[in-house]
Amino acid sequence: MRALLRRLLHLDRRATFVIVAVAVVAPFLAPFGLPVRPTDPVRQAFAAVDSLRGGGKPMLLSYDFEPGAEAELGPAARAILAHAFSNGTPVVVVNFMPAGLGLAENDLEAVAARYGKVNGRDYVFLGYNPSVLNSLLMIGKEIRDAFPTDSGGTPVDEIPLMRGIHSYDDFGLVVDLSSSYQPDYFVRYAVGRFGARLVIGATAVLASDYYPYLHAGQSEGLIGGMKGAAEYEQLLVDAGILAGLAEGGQGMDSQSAAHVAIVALIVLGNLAYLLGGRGRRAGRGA
Amino acid sequence: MKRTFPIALASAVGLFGLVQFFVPHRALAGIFQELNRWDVFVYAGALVLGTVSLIRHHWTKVRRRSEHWQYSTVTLVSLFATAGIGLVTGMERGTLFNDVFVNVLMPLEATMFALLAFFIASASFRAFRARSFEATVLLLTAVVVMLGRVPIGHAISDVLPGAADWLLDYANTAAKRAIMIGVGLGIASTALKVLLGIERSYLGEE
Repeated sequence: MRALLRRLLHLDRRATFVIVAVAVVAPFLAPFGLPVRPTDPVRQAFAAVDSLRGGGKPMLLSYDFEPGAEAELGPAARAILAHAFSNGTPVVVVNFMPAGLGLAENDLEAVAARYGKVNGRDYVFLGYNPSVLNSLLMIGKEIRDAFPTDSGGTPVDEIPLMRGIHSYDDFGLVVDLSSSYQPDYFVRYAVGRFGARLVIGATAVLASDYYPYLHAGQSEGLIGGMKGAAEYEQLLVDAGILAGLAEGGQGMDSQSAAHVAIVALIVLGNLAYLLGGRGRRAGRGA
Repeated sequence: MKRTFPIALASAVGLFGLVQFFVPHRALAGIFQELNRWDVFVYAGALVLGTVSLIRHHWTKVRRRSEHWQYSTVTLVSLFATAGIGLVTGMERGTLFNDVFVNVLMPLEATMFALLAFFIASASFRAFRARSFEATVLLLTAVVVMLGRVPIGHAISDVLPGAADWLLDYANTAAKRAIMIGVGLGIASTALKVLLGIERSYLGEE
């Protein structure tokens, strides 16, 4: 047994790669269908978006992630857009990360087409601005100073949806989906200075950073990573808006299996370390 | 003069930003809004500067045939080809630029990000050891959060998700708050030093 554990300490790293690959891919081929149970932060986010039901004030959605984080935040973005459109809530989308521009445009048009929404009337994409801090301050006074045209070059004053929309006061809710530092700015300026209502969506690794804002009431909800998106999708299913779980929910079996595989590797590594070869330095680098 | 003027300018603009925050007068708000608009040009200029710097760096590598110069060629060709396609076809859905974005950039970036899972798994197996009390606490916390935050955690035991939520709601929030307060105090003191002309590293001084 000791010899086996000692050999385990020198396990080829390619073996760990194969274990993780199998754990990630296999559930897509043979799903277990694990139930997704929504947590309170996601329920709060859902309730905040749902509070705009009826087509009153629009929602300002900031698309602050790039393709590397698409798998985590893309499903959340599409779920929120589906929720807003199905409720008749107009959506104004902005973007503060250059490679997020294409993601926002593609998602917005795809989801809007599904719900028969019209650009300029039900939604508008105002495009990219390189300075999140200054833009957030400018939106506090006049959104046209930060985004004078939409992404296609149409002046904001000529867009029917933007009539009468000038600052945070004219938005029912601000949602920031981010793979970086932007939610900090939204909390400091949009919420702290101008009193906007905010919901944060972040990659799983960043989500823990925003719990203080959630508990202080500065963010009304928090959607963390693909798991958060899956929970949001489950709430949409429960509300009859989606027929079944979409990408977020479909990725949960894979994520569960990958987490179990990594935990099993950690446990095995520690058993081998404690029983087989404590104190010895094991193997090569990562 | 070479040093005094930039310091005086930074202090004046900084003080203005501070004063207008507490004095909600229309005139001050208007000036502040105009300054914010100018600042966007600075950010846009930084993007241009970054692009020029990137081209110069890689062009120098190609010209000198430095180590791995071939990758620099790929970078330059990709940069100019993508920009050229975007300028000619536009960037909307259905254009070649959008096809390049969806079919080349997105899978590439997603692949780079996905590789992390393999390296994290391998590194965890080799380095995440219960060598001390603190390391053991960290290890147990990681295991509880990893299992408690995915649906299989519920399937194993309802205790796991509850424990993971408790860790995030209390232990994590308390630690984050302490860090944020520390960072906030640091930002405030640095800002004060810049306003008073004590902090001059932004001028390139030591």
